[in-house]
Amino acid sequence: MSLDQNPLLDVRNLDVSYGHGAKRRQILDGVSFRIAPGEALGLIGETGSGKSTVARAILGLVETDRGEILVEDHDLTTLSRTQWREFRREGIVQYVFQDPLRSLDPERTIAQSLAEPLEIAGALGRDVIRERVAASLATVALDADILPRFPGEISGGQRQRVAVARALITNPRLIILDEPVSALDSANRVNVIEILAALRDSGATLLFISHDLGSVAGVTDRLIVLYRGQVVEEGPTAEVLRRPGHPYSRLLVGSAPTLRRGAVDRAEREELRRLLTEHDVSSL
Amino acid sequence: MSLLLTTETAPETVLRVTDLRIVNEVDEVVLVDGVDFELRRGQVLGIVGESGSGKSISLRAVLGLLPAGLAIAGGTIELFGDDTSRFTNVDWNHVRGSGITAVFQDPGSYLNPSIPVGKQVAEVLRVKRGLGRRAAKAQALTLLDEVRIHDPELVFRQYPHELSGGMLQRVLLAIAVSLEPRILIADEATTALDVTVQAEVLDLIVDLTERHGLSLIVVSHDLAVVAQVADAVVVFRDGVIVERGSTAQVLHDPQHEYTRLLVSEHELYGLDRFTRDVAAHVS
Repeated sequence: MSLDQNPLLDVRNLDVSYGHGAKRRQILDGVSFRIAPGEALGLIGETGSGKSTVARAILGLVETDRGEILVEDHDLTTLSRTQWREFRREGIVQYVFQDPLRSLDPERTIAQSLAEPLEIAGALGRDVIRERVAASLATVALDADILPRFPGEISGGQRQRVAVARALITNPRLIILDEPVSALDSANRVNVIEILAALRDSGATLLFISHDLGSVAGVTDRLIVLYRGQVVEEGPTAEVLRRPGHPYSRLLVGSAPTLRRGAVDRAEREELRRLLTEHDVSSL
Repeated sequence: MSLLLTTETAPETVLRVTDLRIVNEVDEVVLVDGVDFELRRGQVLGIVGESGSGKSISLRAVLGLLPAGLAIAGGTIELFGDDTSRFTNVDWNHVRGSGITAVFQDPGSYLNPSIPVGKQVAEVLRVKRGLGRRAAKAQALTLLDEVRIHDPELVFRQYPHELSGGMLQRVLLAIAVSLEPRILIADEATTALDVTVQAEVLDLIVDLTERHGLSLIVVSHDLAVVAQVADAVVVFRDGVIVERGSTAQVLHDPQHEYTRLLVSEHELYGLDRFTRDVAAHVS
């Protein structure tokens, strides 16, 4: 978790904008962060913060104006289309989305979906693939009887666990989780969070992107808070949650509902809101 | 102001639901199976449960707005002492709005996209309270101001698509309180909002409740949201109520396994794990 090690993901001064001319809007403004091997980093932001754009940039789905995204020896911002295909095939980085139906083909069985990333990577025999499929299912506590079924035939919680198993199957160096539990009910949310926490404890490197501090708190070592395209707070999860520094992080932590009321009282929240509307992000 | 009205007896019950059963008439599946709860004047009741637990359908029944195909198969719902099974359409039109009202998760879908929002607030006042055009507009502006919209004149002229989810929910709350109802139901009213906006809208709902002397039902899948505002909590699971009690009791000494899961999610993995000591310090 130490930052002296070479980071697995190193995002440096990332600028992204959408639109052209008068309609041009800057979405990310000098975003920098690193994830060390074995670290679980939470990226927190609300609507318009740019957090989804960070995910899309790491996926190669948006053009960047400036900055670097370094994964091991690759700068992802400079890859050609062919190089992207090659990079994806290696399965160094895997993704889990909010809606598992996005990563699972409805017309393929769970067994086929799980084996697919290994088949794309190539060079593995059928028996090895079968073993790896079984092992990844065990990691997410699913039984083998789910294998011949289709995504539409299993529950939402089971689907999301399959999506996690599928992301794990290539032994990726980095797993990006974009709102992985936001669409689940409580029982399944706890279930998937427990799986992610166990994954973290086993040394996996995670980037957990969410609007929901509550779902990220128990799984991550460190948090960064994104607000209007800028990183306004960074630190160990417990520190950020107990003593947030930036007015926006204070408002965010103070607004998140907890079982106990009034961690931050209402007058303070109103004061923070006033501060945020009257000042520039970077001047705070 | 309520001092003069206070009596020695417990506050009156404004809503009483007894042994409510709701079935799907098409496939005969029982969706709500013997649910009891009541709301007293001035009380804030929290209702917690997943989607499909029967909580929203029970409240739809309370509002006399069950979706087609669903029917009340047993039990009674009393609003202000009257059995609603005997209500005519005229009775419902009278009681909905000025007796009981509700806001839901998707405020945008309750507004006409091609009419400015202010006009829609004013329209309710014209039709239901018989105000003239000018009086309705003035009252609508007052209401928009009351729900803390900073520039009521501007927002009055704006169309729903020009407003954020938080602003739309404020407009719906303005409409909800415009007829001076006695009961407000907020069904997942802050669920789709960013957490900082959610806190603002919850504050607003509490303010409106106090200012207008409302009795409030807050419905959420998130126990923590309900814990912010409710005096008492009932927990729905698979069409029945599995837990009920004062908020403190339910949070600190949950009896049902499912409620314990909801509490432990926050305590083991959520913010409560980190803020517990801080909060204890504050209170």
